Amino acid sequence: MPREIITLQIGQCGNQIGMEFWKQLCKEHGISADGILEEFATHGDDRKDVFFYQADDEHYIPRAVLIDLEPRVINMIQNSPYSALYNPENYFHAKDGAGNCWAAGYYGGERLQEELLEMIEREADGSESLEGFVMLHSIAGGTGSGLGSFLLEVLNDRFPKKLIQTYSVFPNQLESGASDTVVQPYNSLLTLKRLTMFSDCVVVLDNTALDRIAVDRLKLVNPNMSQINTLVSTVMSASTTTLRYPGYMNNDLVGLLASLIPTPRCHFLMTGYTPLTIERQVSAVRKTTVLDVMRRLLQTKNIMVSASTKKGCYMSILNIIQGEVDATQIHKSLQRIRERKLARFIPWGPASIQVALSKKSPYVETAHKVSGLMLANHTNIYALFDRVLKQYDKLKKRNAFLENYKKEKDFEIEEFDYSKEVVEQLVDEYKAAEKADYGSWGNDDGKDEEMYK
Amino acid sequence: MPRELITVQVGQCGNQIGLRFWDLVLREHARHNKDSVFDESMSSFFRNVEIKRGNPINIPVGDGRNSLQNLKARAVIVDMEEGVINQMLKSELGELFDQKHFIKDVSGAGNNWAHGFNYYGPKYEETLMENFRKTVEDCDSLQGFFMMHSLGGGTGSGVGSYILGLLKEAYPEVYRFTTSIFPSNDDDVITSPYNSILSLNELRKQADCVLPVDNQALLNIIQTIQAPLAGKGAGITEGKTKEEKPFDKMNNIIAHLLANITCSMRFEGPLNVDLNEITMNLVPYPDQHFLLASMAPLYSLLDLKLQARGVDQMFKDILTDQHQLLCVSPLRHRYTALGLIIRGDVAFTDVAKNIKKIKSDIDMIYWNKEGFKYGLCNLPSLGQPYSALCLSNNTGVRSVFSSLQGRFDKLYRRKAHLHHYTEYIEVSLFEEASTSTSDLIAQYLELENVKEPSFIPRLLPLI
Repeated sequence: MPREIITLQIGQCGNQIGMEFWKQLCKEHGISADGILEEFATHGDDRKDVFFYQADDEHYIPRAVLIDLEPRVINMIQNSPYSALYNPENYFHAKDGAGNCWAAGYYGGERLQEELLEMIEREADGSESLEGFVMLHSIAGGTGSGLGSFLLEVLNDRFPKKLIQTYSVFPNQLESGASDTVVQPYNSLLTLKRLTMFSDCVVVLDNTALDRIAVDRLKLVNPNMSQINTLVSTVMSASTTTLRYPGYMNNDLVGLLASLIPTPRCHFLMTGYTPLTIERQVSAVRKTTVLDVMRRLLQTKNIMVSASTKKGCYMSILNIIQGEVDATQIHKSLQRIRERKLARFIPWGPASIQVALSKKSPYVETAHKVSGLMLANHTNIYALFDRVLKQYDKLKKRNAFLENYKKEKDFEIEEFDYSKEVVEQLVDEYKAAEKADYGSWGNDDGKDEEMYK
Repeated sequence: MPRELITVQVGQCGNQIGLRFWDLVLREHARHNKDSVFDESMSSFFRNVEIKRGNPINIPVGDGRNSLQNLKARAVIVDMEEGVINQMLKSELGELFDQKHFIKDVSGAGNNWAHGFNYYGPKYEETLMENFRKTVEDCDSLQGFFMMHSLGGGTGSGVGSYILGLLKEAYPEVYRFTTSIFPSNDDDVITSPYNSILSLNELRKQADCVLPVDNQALLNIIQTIQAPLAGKGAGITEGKTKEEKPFDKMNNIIAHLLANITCSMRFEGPLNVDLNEITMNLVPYPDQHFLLASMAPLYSLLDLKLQARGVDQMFKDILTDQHQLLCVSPLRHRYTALGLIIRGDVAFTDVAKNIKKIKSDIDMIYWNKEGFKYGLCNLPSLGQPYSALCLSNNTGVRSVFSSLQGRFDKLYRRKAHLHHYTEYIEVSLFEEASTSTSDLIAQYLELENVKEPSFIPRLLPLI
């Protein structure tokens, strides 16, 4: 029963993550670097057709569209060992780049929308029953943020019934961190508005946390960018395992998301993964029972977002456990977690952790019996948006770095104010979700009248 | 497909820098491009030309596998006297330049900005525009113009300023970067303050980004490199006396600067930085586009093969006074933004760690505490496993402008040498230039002194 997903990779970050993601998927399904199914994999019962389709000559092609406004990264992919894998008609690159400017990316996308939509619609027509789109991008740069925002708006318009999930890389924002772009507050704010209004689910990948994990946890001497991206790809492939190895539930994306997202605007998910290794290094001996995995997933140091989970509460949690798992242990583990109050839940809804068991790929060797991914909707994610707002305020008050945005003829400076409004409301909503009266939030009765009584 | 850069070399200084620059770029690409194919990275600076029967035809990049036939540099060469150009043509790199893109005259501008700006400029305007049109046509997707010139002389400063104005009008969307050599205190040209202040006015209006360089700073760098080696006699035969300035070595440093800025455009890396990203991230207000440059390690600049020092040391060095290309102490002034371009095999966690350290060491303006931009490029520069280039918007540049203005005032008060200039321009231009410089200095001073406003809590309404 097909429910295909089309992946859109945008900008340098998006394409680099995407490259690792497809490498990972190919390994898991036993597809070689040029799309041919390996000998040992011909009898699998995994569902490849969610992410791949088959060409006339039986080789598998990813349902992916690779977009960038400058040629370098796409050229790198075309010269890599996996170049024969992708559909050559699905590459799109322009010449000039967006220069870290959201406006250049957005209006660049608008100028090119004919060709982009042609590619996307061709892929959509090639699927029997398209479920939705997955967009990979960063929000701090120019292309990923600007062109990504434009595509979100356009896809919402053209395909109103299809899901849009994004894997958005948030920049390193901490005071003690190393930011890599000066104008990231501007770009992030403008993109956050579109992520809030036009996407159905955003999986937040925070560079701050990824840096921290790389330095502290991975025990690698000098991790380079592609190893960090492998970490991201592990998370992405783990979150799609239930779609690709069908079980008795959670076989499509909408099922996964429905239980995680209670209200339409609170759709920013954080992820955690354990055990964290790269390149299948054998780590120190550790217990990998279900309880341990689930417990570790709730620890802050395994969570790939830099907002603290100690404040605020969980709205919903989904754990995807892979490996040799005794299903009876799950019930016990859940009970234990509830007893020890390891996770604090919202007062207005059901307070439980959902667990989905999934099979592992038979072609990939892992050193661990059990591994787990957590997708959680936690109210404290607003801390990330708060940081963006603060940094944005500082720069905007001084009107610094605005020249290049003004250079784009169609860009209005008020766009910044509209975006700020949307993000502030989002922060308020998350804060209100922690309280028991969230159900009446947003209605006109209630709070205001209390104050003036 | 790639983004091309056109270099514009004006005047004696500009052309000498240019020569060193092309030499370096050729060696860099030769080391990277082992199969001698004309790939896309070469296309940023060169054209591949087939010369058959006298009519040169451009060979496009195509799939990046055409072999090299004849390389021609994408350069426009301007000089008002023939000496330097002839030397260039006679040198080993002579073949690289296309005779048709030379604009030259015989007598020179006589160290007179006005002569360059108001006489030679308009005289050659048509030829210049024609030349630019042709070079721009050869480009697929032009990203920027790089001007190399000095501010102390006549041609580089005067004609250079005029050309910037022409380019801004004809190609407003193309970035105009300049490397401007500011005269040192003991410069050999007496009227250099006049020439510099007049050019500064134009640079402020017409250029998108200026990388000022000081001859004195370059000399200091060379002495820093050579001092520990002089005693050991490590293979440098010093045939020059102390009085003779080692211009070749100094120009090499600037060549490295330009090569490093564009390395991310030409070679791949995990985090790319384009020229337009540099202006986007490092120029908060349009007038303040003067970026302080520094590089580490210094040894790479003279192509000496020495023991590489640690990565952390490199980041520490890049903030010190000796590594700056201007005589400025950046740590004593305030930063508005800082950009790093790192080449070679450096793990980005090292970069992150060091940026955190730098953050705590420097005085960054309060509203842009996280104002860092960095880029990583895989290909290291010649001879070193890794190197870093730091471009920062630092209020310290105002001290260079101030001292220049001081020297200008000394001469102007006495109206010394003024009659040479008034032959071609009005005196009011001097006034305008002087006020413009004072204005610029005041802007930087204001940024340096601004303090974070203390937080005044809003009064709560009494219910």
